[in-house]
Amino acid sequence: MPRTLMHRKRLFRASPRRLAVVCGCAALLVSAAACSSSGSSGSGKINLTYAQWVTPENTGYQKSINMFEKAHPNIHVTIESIAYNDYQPKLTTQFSSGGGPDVYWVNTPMIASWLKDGVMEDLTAKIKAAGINMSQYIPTLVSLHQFGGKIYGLPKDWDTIAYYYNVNYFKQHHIAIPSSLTWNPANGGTWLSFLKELTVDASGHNALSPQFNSSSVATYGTDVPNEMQWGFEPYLAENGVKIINQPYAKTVAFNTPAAQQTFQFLADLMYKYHVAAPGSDLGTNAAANNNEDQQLFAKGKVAMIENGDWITAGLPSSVKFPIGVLPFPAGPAGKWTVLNGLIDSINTHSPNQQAAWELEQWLGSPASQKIMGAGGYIWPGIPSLDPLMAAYWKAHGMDIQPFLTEASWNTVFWPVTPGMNKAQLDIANLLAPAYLTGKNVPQAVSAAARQAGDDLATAG
Amino acid sequence: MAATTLTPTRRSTAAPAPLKKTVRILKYVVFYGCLTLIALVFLAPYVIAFFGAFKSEANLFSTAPWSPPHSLYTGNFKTILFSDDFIRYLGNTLLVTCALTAGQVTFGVLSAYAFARLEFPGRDALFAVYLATLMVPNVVTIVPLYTMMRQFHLTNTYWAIFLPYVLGVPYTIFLMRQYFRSLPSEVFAAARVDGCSEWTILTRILIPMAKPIIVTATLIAFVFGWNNFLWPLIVTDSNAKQVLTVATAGLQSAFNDQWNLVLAASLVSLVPLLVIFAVFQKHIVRSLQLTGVNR
Repeated sequence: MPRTLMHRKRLFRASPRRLAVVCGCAALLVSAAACSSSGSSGSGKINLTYAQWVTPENTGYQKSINMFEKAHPNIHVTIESIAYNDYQPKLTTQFSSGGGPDVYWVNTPMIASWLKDGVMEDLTAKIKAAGINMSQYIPTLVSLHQFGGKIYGLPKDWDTIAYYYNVNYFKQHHIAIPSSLTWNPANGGTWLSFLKELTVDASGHNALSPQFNSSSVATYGTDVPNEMQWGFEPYLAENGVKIINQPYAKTVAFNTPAAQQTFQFLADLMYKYHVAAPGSDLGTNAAANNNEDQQLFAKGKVAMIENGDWITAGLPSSVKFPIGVLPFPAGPAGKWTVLNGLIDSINTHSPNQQAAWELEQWLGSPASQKIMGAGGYIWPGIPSLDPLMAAYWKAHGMDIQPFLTEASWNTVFWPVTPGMNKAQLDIANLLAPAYLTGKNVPQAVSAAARQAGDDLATAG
Repeated sequence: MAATTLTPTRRSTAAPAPLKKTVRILKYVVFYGCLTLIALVFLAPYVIAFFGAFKSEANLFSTAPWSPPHSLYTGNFKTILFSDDFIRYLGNTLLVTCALTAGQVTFGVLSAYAFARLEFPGRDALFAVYLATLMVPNVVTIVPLYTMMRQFHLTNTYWAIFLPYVLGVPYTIFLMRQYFRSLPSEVFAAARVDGCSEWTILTRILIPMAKPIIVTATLIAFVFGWNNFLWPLIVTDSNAKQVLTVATAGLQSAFNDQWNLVLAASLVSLVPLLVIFAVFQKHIVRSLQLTGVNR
């Protein structure tokens, strides 16, 4: 008993003091830290926040910003890089409270909702006053970000969709790179033959051989992700089908026999011809949302992957072989690609409109885009600078010219319209059974089109 | 007598010795088989994370996740610790977590004491209303909180990260209040008779007696602060103020998977929690008893 009492006595003497010391230290630390990291520089400098999502491009933009700050000593720019999946939710939350970054990247799927929210500054008058030559940019990129005659950002880059291939695999199997390939939903065309040549079973027989065993495929020709932009949209476009007929449409346009034929062809690549990895290898909904396609590619389970040029900088470090790029095969409606591009937008809530405009002009200028192109980070929105990007990667052992070639083909956009973000999720969910089993494809397409149509109609 | 009558009955219904032994062995096999399976399910993510953290990006993607690394590649840890501002994020996390924990425990003790031991009009109703906020999901309050922080010009500061939680949270206050109420009221009555003030009662009687629940509350607050993701993500605008959870999420992006770095960062983030677990293991076990037993 005495021991317990003494023990308690010692405790109740020590505890409040300890607590007070801990609290005091924490408060001091936080005060010091908060003061030292205040948003204001205290030297009359304007602090701008420039939001981007995480990509290898961030490094290039920091180089560009360093140049900007040298030319504008009164402006300090902080790049905020956010994980892509958190990017739109975070900024939307901040916008809803009248905050958010001063300047920020806008991806095509984000345009419609942010335009509706009124958080993208109309730059038309400023562009006119500054005498910026809009014809220096790729015209389709300008029109992609122009609504009702108003321009909401200067194009900074673009991307197209092609096939990355394993150069060693092609050499090992003595497969020549064809000069042109075509596909059609009736018999698959030369594209199907090519994929059969690429697909090899565990015994070393390719899918053209009668001895090919489809139940023990060692390497598939490619993958078919249940993804819009870098999955089925290019195939649909090449078969004369669009997701929506024009930007801001209230209805979808892919509930057609041609669309069903296209999706059936894609499913057949997996489950009839066995030349594409089954959908179950591509994660949830066969959508390769966690880059399962790149993992299959690195493991040698597929010889090629369909993807956008934005993975160019990251892909070489995740594989152990040299990479080549093959252009998309031509379809029944000719050569089409999904051309997409980003703009930098100025937040309408920003208290630093003039400084933000200075930054916007810099990022859209040939000087900044030259830094980005020559560093191999992006295809510049100014086409005269595009050879810089190709030259960088050529010097680093990868010929990415096919992406540039495709930019001169017929192009289709990611379908910009309110409600498309939700529609895209619903389309993926409803197409998933077809992608995962190869069965009931027409029904899945109809269901996806019906639901997506409802989403657009009710989006307001 | 009962024993003598029961014994033959037992013998008569009992299985033969070899069969009994077989059944017992079978029971053990099934029992330990199930336990092993459950342990594997829980341990597998950690083992895979551990293996992955010691593989280069190319090796990670070209080998099976459960295959051990061919060599002990430490490049991921070097990248994380020396070229990615990770130390800064670690410091940020430690700072805001300590501030949050200290505040939450201090104010939690004060309010739990008031709700448990002070008599004032509307006390129970006020507590019920406060407790009801437990039912409100965090995301509902994100926008109003962010608006408040903007009004106070506190966005993108350390203050903003921990202020919403520093005055206590319903769960820990509820836990402490229940514990305080379970302490013998005679002790407090005697202290009042002896002329102790409420502050003296709180600091010299209640806190020493309530050490286990205070440790529990401290651990809960620390783990919450350390793992908090959504609010720091929303309220900070610069990499300089990032905490570990947000920085780790940033390593994995739809455009540039760096799972090798994510796994290495996750392991490093886990270390402080493991240290705390090792140090306070006894208290944690006791706290589980405290929170699990109906007092």
